[in-house]
Amino acid sequence: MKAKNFAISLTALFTALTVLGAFIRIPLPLVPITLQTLMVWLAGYFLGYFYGAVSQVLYLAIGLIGFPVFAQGGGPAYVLQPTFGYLLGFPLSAAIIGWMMHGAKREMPLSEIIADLRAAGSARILVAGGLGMIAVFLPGVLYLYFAGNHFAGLQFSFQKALWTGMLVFLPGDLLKLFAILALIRMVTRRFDGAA
Amino acid sequence: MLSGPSGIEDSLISKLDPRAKLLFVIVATLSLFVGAGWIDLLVWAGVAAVAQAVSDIPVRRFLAQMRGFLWLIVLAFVLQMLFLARPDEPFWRLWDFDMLMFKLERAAFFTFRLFLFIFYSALLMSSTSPIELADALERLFKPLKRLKVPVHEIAMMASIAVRFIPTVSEEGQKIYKAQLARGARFQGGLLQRVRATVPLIVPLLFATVRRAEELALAMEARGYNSRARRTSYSQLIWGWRETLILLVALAVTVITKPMY
Repeated sequence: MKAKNFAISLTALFTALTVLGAFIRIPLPLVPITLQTLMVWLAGYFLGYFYGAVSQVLYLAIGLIGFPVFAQGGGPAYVLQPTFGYLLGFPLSAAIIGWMMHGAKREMPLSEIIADLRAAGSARILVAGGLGMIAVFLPGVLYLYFAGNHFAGLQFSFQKALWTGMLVFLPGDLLKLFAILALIRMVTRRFDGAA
Repeated sequence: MLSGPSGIEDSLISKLDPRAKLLFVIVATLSLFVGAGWIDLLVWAGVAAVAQAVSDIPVRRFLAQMRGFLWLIVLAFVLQMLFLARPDEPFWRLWDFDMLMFKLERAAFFTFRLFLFIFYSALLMSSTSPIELADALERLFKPLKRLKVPVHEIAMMASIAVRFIPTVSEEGQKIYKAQLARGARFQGGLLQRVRATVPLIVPLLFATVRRAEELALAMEARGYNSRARRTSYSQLIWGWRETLILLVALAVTVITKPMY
């Protein structure tokens, strides 16, 4: 099987998983968490830096041209949503994680993906996920700040953007980070029998 | 869960080449957001009125498209009125007539601009199917092939992704129900809920990888080669109407900008 065709298919399917992630919600007292960032990170872990980023760019492109794949719909006007910055962080996040797991590799056969993931220590998996998390928050908070001040023309302090844009999400995301570790361990174990 | 805006009616606008419509909206957006003043807004509003009249698209449809953003418009206006301040004055001096006028003017400006932008993208979305837009994007980005950007592969992946969104979400539902039947608990405390995602995600990932392998095999069996030159069933035709609307957009931009 050509590695390229496999990469194309898997990338497209991770785009679809990212869409699904936006609609799986875990209701929590303050802010509900979605499984979306989990899918973004998994795209990085499984696809490597290049196709990981591609899968997320595709997600943004599909949403911006009008498929209702974002949490609140789609279409070009979505760039006005104050939360659009988080979406901008997705490709970056997947790329960072992919780079930490697979280095500069692009097309990989399944066996190589699994081998890299199995070889990675827990610390590396967690650090990669943590960096991937920051890569979503950073553009997210900056955009929130920018959108508040520019599109809406408000005087919106940076502390406020930081609080509403990041600190309230932090507990849920930290939990997801540890869920990722368990997930990756389980998936690699399961592929041992099958791959 | 997923279907593009359906029932796009035949009209002058829906028959235009999607590339032209896309470029028009991009020019309009840039013109509205970069160094724009009241004159830009008014001229673009005039163009919008003409476009709406020509489009044959019922106002109702527009409102449905814009519904998700109405709260944004209202919120922007309210917040501006409450918190906008001139640097030299405290924001609460509402009774000051000058101050009130200043606030009203700025709030109206920002809100109106937001409205116009949303209007133009709603016009694009309700007169063009996402498939047509994707097609248009692929053609517009074709010159990037010279720079080794894999335009065709990207378009291919986008269409696979869109095709598989319903399949993947159906699979997710099935797995969820199967795990429920096996006694998985998706309710309970925070930790329990996060833990419950594991029996959901692991089989989903497994199924996804399997499906990707099958797809890759199917592509191979059909002799798919991303490097090959491919032909397309749908043809885009650029005529004088397309050139005209693009010229209108550029003319509006050029005429309004030097006024500041």
